Amino acid sequence: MEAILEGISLSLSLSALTGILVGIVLGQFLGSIPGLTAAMAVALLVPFSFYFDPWVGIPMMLAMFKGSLFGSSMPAILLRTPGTPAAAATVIDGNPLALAGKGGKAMHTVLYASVFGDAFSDICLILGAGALAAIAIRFGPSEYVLLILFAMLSLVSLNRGSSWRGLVAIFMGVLIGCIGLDPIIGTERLTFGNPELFEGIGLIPMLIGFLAISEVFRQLEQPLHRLAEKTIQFSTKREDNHLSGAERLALLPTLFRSSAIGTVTGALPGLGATVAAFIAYNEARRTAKKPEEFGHGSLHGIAAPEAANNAVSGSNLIPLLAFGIPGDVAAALILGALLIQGITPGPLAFRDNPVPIYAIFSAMLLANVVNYLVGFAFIPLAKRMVSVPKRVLFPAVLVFASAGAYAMRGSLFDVQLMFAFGVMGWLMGKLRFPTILLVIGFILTPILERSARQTLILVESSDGWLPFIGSRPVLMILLGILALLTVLILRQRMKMGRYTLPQQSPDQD
Amino acid sequence: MTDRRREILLLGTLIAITLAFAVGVLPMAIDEGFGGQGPGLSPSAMPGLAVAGMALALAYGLVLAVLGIKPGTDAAAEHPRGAHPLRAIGAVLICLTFAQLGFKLLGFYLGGVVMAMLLTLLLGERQIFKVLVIPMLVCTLIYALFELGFQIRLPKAGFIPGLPL
Repeated sequence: MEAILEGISLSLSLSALTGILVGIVLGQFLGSIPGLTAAMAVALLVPFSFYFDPWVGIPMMLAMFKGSLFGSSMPAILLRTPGTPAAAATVIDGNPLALAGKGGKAMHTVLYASVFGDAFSDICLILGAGALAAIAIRFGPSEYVLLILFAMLSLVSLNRGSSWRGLVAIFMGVLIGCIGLDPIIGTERLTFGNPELFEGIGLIPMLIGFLAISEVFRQLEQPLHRLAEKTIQFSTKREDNHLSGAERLALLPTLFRSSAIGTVTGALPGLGATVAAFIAYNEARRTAKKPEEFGHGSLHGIAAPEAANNAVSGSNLIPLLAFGIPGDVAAALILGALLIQGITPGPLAFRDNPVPIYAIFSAMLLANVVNYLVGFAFIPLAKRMVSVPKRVLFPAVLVFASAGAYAMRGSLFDVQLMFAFGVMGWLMGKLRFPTILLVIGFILTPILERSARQTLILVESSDGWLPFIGSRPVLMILLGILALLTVLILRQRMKMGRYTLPQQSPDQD
Repeated sequence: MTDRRREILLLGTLIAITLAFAVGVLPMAIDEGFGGQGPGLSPSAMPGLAVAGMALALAYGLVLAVLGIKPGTDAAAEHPRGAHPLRAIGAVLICLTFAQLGFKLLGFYLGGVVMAMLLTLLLGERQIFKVLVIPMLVCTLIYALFELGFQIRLPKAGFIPGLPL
């Protein structure tokens, strides 16, 4: 108890509060820049944190990560340009709502859902770090393969259009994800002898190219007078710029469900916020009273992925704090910064030196409050930032994206790749292929391939599949749950009448 | 041409490209090394599965199109056929030229300013302030943010040695 109080008082000190405030402001600002991901934002701060007192640097980094997750949803909604892959699902409903003049409402929904999901997972982290980590740590490569295949299936079922187009896009993403040196034996795959491709395709050029540049090219086809218009028109009605109490109340079931999905997914190392966001979106649509509103500006469609991807940020610290194992890139960066400051997370830290751990917990909760308050002030600023004509904004976006793509690896080849992907995404859009699925397929490929290879090696050493599955109770339980969910998803899709004869509905497609 | 015929033509073309890639490019572009003989997946397994998956999905689409069964709401509303594809093609050419040559020759700052000016002109802006000053301001901000803020060295002009931009 004494350690808890000491931890709380440490996080309430002026230096820690300053760190939290600066971290949130910087995070929201950097996150709102297309191409600067939450991981990049934290990475940029790690070297600086060494020059600060630990109780300025650590809260600042944790807060920056939270702020950047919220900030990255701003361009997703207003420019259809997610600042991080985790915000890609927010585009689906956030952008249509903004285009309808309700950008303010969309951003308030994001803020509400982000802070809710974040706080939910922080509380789960505090209450059940040990228990959740114990379950997650039992997941082996075969469980990962199953989870990823399930994620891919739900993503294809999420696609509003034909399932074959979704499948082609996701397989194309997998193929692009295979470019580079083989992850196990290091031989060349699809590099065509180009050394720039040995490390594989960079995530940043891929993301900016497919999700931002392709959108700019698509919009450039509009008549000139449309390009002179403001990017997003904001309605002047108060109800279009705020979230009412009734709307907040109606979102609660979605927020609880999505936060739980994000918390569990975040506790599994490597799966990350993107998978959580898409699973939560799909679940929200599956359980919605009006699923037809999804994709057209549904508030539940915005709240679900936001609550889930923010919930990941808290729970992915579970394996880090309980076992010293970082769950994703950002957690790895936070681990690096903790080590720089002389704090070694892990089971021994809870027993021998718990004060810093409780101070981190307390700082995370405080950061949520600050994130909400700063976010509230940031929304009008973000609205102003995008209220410029497209023909002035788009050239700036293209130059900025070039700098963002170059910055990660200092390579002009990445800038070329980004524009090539932009052209590819634009053409795919014209042929009605969902580019988001391609990006997700690409992101999931490394972990899928590594886990599949490890699983096959394990199966070979277990004398076949049946003895292998029989020896893994976690896998059997997971198989049962996912089989049930798959049936439910397929039934839902059939019910929604995706396949209709053209003569029965000539207006479709 | 009807939508159905266009769909069949598209699917036929994509299947032909996928098969040509699977047969002509994939085996040559993957070095199996010694891993192909060992336990687990070979280096070509995952790319092979991806291409096979694409071919099967396309074949499924072709069957649906031939039978006249088609899905409801492909993202047609999100991607309407553009009225001016030539402008987008012009922008693509400008961007690719600068990514390939412009940034190397002029450096990021000057290259960015010229690229933004050309794009602004292409998009129909004719006010001198917006064509000249805004690209310069934007590029100065971006350059300062990355070079001074993040300490990331952006490409410098190659034609004048020692030019700091």
